Amino acid sequence: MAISFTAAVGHHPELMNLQVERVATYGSNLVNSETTNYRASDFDIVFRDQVLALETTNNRHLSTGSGMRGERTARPQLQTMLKDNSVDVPLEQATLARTLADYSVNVSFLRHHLMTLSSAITGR
Amino acid sequence: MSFQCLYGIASQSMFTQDIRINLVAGNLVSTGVAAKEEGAVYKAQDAMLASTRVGNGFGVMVEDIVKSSKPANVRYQPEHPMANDEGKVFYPAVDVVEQMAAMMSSARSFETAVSLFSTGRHMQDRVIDLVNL
Repeated sequence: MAISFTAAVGHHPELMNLQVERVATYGSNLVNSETTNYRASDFDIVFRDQVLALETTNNRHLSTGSGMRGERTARPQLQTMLKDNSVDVPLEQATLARTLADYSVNVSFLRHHLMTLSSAITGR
Repeated sequence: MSFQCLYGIASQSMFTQDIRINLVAGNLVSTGVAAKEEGAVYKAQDAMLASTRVGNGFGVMVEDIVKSSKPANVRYQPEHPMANDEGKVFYPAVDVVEQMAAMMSSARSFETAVSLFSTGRHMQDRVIDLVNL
């Protein structure tokens, strides 16, 4: 039986990419906290299976594919701010911290998967 | 991988804050510089920030440097060597408190950029650590 590395580690590498992009989005908001007319954006990670749960009953049906994608959305503005800027710095910092925690969990899972593979390869 | 994007955003922000803090320093050291006439007096400078696209994110850059349009502070000092015929000396209209606030704000933004950079570095370190299983 051949082991596919992609199948063995699951969605984790894909999620990691999206999480880095998410950090970059919050980072953009933070560095632009004093820019005139800047609108803060949010980055949602959507699991495609949840959105398009379409079954392919015929082999001529196009697959909707599984996996994740990132969606950039506008942050709702909670209050009017100076210079028509909509960046809420504490909120950005908090969501950034949460993303880092999520990233940490993801890396731990990936590490665990790789260690499992490693022990399967070495046979110990 | 968008780590490069993250580093780009952070370093561009650092560069921008460096320009801002240099302008503030220029304004602060010029507060006591007297001039003979209104036109020769130093004008406070401020940076206009604008967001720019860096990869998938947005960085920040200085779009323009604008000079303050506030009229100079006029003081009556007839004994001053720079005094004009009416005994008036012109000083720059620089608000020191405002400049200090701008300095703090730009130093904070710089710190944010540095911490963003090191966050990216830590994240990348964890990926590299996966090699050493």
